[in-house]
Amino acid sequence: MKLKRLVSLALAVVMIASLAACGQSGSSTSSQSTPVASVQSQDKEIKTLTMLTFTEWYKTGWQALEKYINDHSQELGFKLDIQKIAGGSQGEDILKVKFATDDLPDLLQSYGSSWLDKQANSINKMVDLTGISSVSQYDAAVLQEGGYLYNGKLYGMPVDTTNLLGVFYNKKVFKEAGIEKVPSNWNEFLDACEKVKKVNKVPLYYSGKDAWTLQCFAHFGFNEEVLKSGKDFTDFWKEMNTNKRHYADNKDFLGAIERSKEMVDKKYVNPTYLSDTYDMAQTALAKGDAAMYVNATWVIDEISSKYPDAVNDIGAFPLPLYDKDNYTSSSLPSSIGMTTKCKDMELGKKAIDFISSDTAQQIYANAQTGIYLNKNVKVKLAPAQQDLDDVMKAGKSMPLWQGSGNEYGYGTFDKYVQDYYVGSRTADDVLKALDEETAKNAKAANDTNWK
Amino acid sequence: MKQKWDGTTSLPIFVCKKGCEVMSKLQKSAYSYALIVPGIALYSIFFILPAMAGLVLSYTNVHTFNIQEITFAGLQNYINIFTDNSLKIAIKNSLIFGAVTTVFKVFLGMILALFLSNKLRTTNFLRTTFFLPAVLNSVSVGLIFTAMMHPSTGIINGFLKTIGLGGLAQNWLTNPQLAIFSVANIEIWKWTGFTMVILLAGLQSIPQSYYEVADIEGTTGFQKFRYVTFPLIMPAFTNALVVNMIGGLKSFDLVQAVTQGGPGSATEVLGTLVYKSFGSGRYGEGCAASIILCVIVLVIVLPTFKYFSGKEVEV
Repeated sequence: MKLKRLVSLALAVVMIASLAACGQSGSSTSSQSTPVASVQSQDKEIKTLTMLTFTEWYKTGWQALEKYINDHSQELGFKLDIQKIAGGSQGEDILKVKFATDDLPDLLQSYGSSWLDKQANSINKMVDLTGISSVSQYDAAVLQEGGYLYNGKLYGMPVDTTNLLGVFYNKKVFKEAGIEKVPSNWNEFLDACEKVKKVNKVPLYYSGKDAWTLQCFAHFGFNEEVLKSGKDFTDFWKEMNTNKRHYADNKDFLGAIERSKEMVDKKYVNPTYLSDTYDMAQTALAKGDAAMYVNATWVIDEISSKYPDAVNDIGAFPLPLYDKDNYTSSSLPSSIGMTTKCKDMELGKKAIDFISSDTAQQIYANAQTGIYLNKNVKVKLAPAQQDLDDVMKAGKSMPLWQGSGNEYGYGTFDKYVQDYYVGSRTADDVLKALDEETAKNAKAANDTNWK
Repeated sequence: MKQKWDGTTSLPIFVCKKGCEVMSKLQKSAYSYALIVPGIALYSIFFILPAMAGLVLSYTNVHTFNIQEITFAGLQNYINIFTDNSLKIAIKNSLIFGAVTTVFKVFLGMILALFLSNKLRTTNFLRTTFFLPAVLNSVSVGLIFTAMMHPSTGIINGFLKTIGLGGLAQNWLTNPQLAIFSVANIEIWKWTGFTMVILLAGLQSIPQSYYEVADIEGTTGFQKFRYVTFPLIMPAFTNALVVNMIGGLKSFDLVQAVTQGGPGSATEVLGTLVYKSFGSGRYGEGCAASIILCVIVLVIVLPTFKYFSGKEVEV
């Protein structure tokens, strides 16, 4: 037994000695590296800020800007480590878990303040950025309208492009069909469809396999709804979000849904529209197999990369559901903000100030064309983007209600529209279903307006 | 130490040289329990606990992951599910999907198993070929079949038109009356090989001597199947039946990959309904939908299992 104890003691001594040796080796390394450290201290200390975004948002613009920032980190004083997670409902869930567990990055690109407040219940975990200088390069009203300014605080700055909804049309097909000017009211639109049909082309392409694309048509009806209400967008949605007004009350929205089916009934859309995809729509429009497609300017980004030669043949106009006041809907860019877990708040603000500045946004825009909110950014837009940008600049645009207006989820609107097309629901049922889902979500969030 | 069989227990008991028992009965049972503790612990942590938590959450409002925000909802989540317009369609579709896929998978799997239990030169190759779809990713299978079933560009309609049967060409996945059966067909294609393997294992456990006796008695092929094969593969058959029923009733991945429950809600099944609740951020309602799905599966599968397992015979 004595021998056993002695062996154990000896082993313990050897282990302690080896650990001490490890410690010494560390300290000796540091003493040796002193000259290196002093060389580093002559340079600026560069901190790396972590940023979280959705994979879908990390496009060529971000890639170019990230490269620029990391290449010029000495001058800027920070580096960026961009972490990406898949978007959609699963990505949103991950984000909500991160907020709940305080596992937050320094910077966060998100849907914006309203989503952070109402859906993630975490606006208190974002920092007010008021005072950053790049704000002056943006229209204050747009910052307010897009929810970057929220409850008097600046919780984020725009990053990426603004997308505008419209009817994208192939100019060559229009010419072939003898359509001389873009339709400006519903009758002219139907007339154009008829003319295109006569030259054996698809007048209006529907890509119902990607059900979300079917919603685009009806969005134009919502613009009319807000306009007719006499209220501004914010006040209109305040009523909707407090159970004072319902989807079922919006008759112009209903009318737009009905008109979208009228296109199916009149056989103006591709016969296999429920099996056809967003990707197929781009091909059909670019190659001139279809004359028109209702979507947003992001479709031009896709066509630019797949069919660059076709981009100049495509123009756009707001869907002319009405005789006048045919507005486009604008989907404003996502928002980049700073979380309360940012390890260096001053540096975080500085980074966001730079990212939203005209210098950075121009680098972003050079890699990814589109409509930018920063007033100093110069971009050569594709004709279709330019057409819709002109409409917006003429004051005929309204924020896309999805995300900007509604505080609560409304269910699967796209699926309800599909149901309507195949005869499983009426148009009224579609709106009723939106109201029912809204009520469920509001009740789940303990909103007293729905008790 | 040597082993001695005392003739009273099913296990030999360790005895020491002097003949004293090293393990008393009490020690033995404690020893057995100790061995199952890790298993029970893992099962409790990863199954019992989440299942219980799911049951509790189904009575609450949960729309964030912050535990302080959770409030008691009573039966509201269950009411939401039972009043959901899609529930009726989802139950109908799940039953159709479960019944159609189970019947065809078991029937075709049985034919394949009987065929491939014979010694052919290509037996191993064919077994692998038929089993292969089971190891393919459901999303890939869904995407491939979506392309194949496209009404104008898909090869199925293209083939029918080529051989002069254009009249049979269909909107396979967008006709609300047909779509659920089209998805069921894909499921059958994917899992028939798996069912074949289960039944094949059962077939291989039947002693050859039974067939020799049947031959001496002068039975036909069908009589051999009816009176020898089928009764003796009953355990494997019950297993295949139950596994396929549960899989059919709980189906989600393939439906989601092929139609996402559409067009509209035409192919909505209970699995997609659960997903819809979770996807809307109503986690309490999602839990309630999961509990309902579990109950429906149990109500259908347990009596079926009891009925068929009662008919099993020992080899």
